[in-house]
Amino acid sequence: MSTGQIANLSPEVLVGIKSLLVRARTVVEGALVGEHVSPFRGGSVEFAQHRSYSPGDELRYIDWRLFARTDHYHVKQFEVTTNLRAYLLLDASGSMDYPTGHGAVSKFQYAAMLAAALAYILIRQSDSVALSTHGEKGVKFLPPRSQIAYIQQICDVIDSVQPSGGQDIMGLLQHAQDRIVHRGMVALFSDFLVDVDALMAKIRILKSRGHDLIVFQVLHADELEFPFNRFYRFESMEDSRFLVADSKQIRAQYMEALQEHQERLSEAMRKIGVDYHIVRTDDAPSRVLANCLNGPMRAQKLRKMY
Amino acid sequence: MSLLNISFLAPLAFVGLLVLGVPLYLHMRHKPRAERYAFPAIDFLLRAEKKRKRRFHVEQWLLMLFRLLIVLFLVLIFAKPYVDEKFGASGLKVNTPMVILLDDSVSMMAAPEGERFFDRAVSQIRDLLDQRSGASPTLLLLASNPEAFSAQTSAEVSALLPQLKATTGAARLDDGYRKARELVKEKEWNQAILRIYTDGSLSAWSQVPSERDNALEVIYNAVRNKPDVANLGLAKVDQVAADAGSIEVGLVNGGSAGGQADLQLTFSDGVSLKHPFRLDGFDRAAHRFGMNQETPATITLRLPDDDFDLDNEIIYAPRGNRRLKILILDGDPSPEALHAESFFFKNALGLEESQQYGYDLDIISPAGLTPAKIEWADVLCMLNADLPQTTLLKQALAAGKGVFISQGARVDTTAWNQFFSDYGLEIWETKTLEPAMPGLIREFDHPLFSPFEQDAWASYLEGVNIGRFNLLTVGRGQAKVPIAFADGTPLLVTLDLNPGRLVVWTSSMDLDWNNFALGFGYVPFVRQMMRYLAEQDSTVAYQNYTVSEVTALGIADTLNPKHIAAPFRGLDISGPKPGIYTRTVDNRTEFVQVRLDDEELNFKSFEQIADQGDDPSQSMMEQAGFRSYVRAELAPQVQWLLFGFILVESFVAARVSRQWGRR
Repeated sequence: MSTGQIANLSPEVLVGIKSLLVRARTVVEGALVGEHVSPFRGGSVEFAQHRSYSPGDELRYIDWRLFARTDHYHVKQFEVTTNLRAYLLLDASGSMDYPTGHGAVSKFQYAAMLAAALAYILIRQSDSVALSTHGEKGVKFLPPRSQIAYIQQICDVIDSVQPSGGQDIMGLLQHAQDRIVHRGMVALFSDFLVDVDALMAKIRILKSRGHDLIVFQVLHADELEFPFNRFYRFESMEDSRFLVADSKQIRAQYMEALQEHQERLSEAMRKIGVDYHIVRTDDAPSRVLANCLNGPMRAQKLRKMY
Repeated sequence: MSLLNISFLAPLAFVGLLVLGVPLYLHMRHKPRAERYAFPAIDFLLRAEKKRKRRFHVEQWLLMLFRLLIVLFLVLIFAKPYVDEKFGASGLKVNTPMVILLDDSVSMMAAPEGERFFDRAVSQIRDLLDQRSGASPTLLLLASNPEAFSAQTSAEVSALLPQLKATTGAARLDDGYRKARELVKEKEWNQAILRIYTDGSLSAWSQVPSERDNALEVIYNAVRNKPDVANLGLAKVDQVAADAGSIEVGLVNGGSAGGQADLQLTFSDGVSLKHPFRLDGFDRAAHRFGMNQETPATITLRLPDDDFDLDNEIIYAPRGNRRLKILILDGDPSPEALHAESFFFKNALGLEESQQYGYDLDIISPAGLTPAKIEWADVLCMLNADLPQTTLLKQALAAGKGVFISQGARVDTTAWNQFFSDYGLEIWETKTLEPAMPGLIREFDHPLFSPFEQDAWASYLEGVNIGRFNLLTVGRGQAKVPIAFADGTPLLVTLDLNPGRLVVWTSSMDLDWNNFALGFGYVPFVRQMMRYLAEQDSTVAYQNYTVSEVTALGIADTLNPKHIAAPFRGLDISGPKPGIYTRTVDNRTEFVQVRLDDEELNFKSFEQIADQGDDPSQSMMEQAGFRSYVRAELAPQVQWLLFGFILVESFVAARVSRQWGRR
């Protein structure tokens, strides 16, 4: 399979891959093709180990000597603490479980895929990655580590999470606010179907602490287009609220309310300079990741960094 | 039933309003069936719902309203609404000359809904006149006497209305209609309205007009709201023609529904019995009741109350509740031989079973007549007897007996003329007719013919030809000639001698001089003759007259009410009422039974004929340019309008329902 094909793999196909790690790698491979370079990098002074070159690695880390001996490209890795800590906040609230049917890619599955892929990229370049998500007993937190084997642990934790009930992104944000001491990168994966003001209050705090924020708002096409045309009893996925209504009649008002929410959210994000991405679950994840890594905001960050 | 100006032909359909409960129930209880669907962005939906909720409620109420209206309009259609004609073109012509023709026949006394047709008609006329200006030219004609019209303006007619009463006559509208046309022509009205108020029975017209009169806009107001009138009535009670011991009760069902009822017969001695019977709609039946000699003087026949109460009771006095004793004096040397007159006579009276028919017969030769025999007999029949026993016959007549004399070859005219001279009669000679000639009934109102209709008697004498007869002259005014030849020569002469009665048949009663004895009218003729002769002053001589006949005969003024049947007591109707009356004629008291006209008891209407589809009568009114009041012109339009409403509402309701999903 060529890298071009990988980049275009649909979410449905990716979900078919059982291992989240493999899934993440596939996404990453699709995202970092050809001339793309990883925008995240940590600096190091002590050599730690060699590893095989993979596309996207900087050429300056290739150990040419080793190449002369082995006729294979290897890059050098250094063991000094990374200077980038990435915190992944993955929302596993009930609303992320949509849609629930078999074969469909739920928002959580999609977000998990993105989070794992991002973790994969970061760890592979020796950055520390921490994961924060909803567990059965409150927030489940994996502290930042940079070992390559840590990626498997992250994937296992994500796999073990089942989106449910009355927890939302606000809890994760609160947790991050309490626990993240060092400056780093914070990536949020959620649908953000919460009160914009409350959400932005938390995000502003994180931002004010100097974190580099990447926000992925994962939404399903049904939420964005509301294609229903029947009489439904719409039930909340997080609490006992419901609404009996004719979809066709309520569509206009719904779209209006959604649009207002999105506009407020996006405006607030833009105002404080958050790297904000609205992601549909039917988008190819590789493309989403590539767009994020190579987007104007990331390029700006790179410029600042170097 | 009327609502504003809309009336309903079938108000019972309003029971259907109960169905209104269904949409109400649906509205109160119905919850839309919705599929459950877990959806994350419920916040936005709930926010949208607030805006939408008001519209939802409005549409739900609209849906219920439309459903209610659909039911309501359906009920209205089934209730057959019609709009009072005053909204029509004619009603607006408030000053157009108008002639009002009011049917005041006895059938207008029916009251199927508690109100008599006549009163309703008067009330409708009053309403109509209220809409007209008081000075607008208006004439009121009564069907019973169309020649008499006095009012000229609406105000005058209005003043006249309270005085109007229904008659017990059988007036037809024909004369009134003709008179109305004449009046319009006479008064040179270019355009006039004729409003006919009638109960709509077939009997209202002898002949429905078939030509339009362009100067006359006829509006036919059948005051009957519901098509049917229940009337089980007593049409006629009389003695059976061929059986003196029985009475025949004619029953009529004037409504369309089959009726089952008890006819109650109460005798003057208090004995009462019930006779159940069943009669189909618009049908007639005759029931016979045998009387014995002890039958009391009067029988009250009573039917249950119904929509028309005037024919529910008749008090009848049987005339022939006593067996007639008839003494036959046959001039033939061998009486009772097959060719003898007495044989034919006896044959007519029932031969050996004559007693069952109410006759005791004794056949003797003229010579055998004795005072004892006269005493025994009610009627003496001298059949072709050569010599009269003048003294004995006169004694018999004086004693109130009836005497019947027939002629023949053996009659000694000279001897008989001595007897006849006392009564102004004279036999001249025997005449032979070549060819034989028929005898004709000249006086159908003669009591002799009362039990049968005129047509029946006319047919009884059909084919009877007289070959020979004795020319008899009638000198006194007292004598009547009910049957004669075409030139007036008497064939049958009757004398009411008070007390006795004398009848002379100027031909033979066997086949010698004529063929009457072979005719089928011979039996009823002989039996009726015997009954007529047997009637004396002491015998109640009830005659069946209809009210209208009494009026026509001009004897109404001489009637004294002997008995007025219960339904009519205290009833203020003009004209003679049904019942038994007495009148005095020639120092003699005659009882007259006055009854209602048969046809007036039948309430079959033109609409009912049309409904049955056996007659194109529906178009009869249209042929004459009549417009119906009850089926007013706006009715079909109203119904179409309602139907249109229902369609539109169904469409809207369907749309609203669809908007709210599949229910």
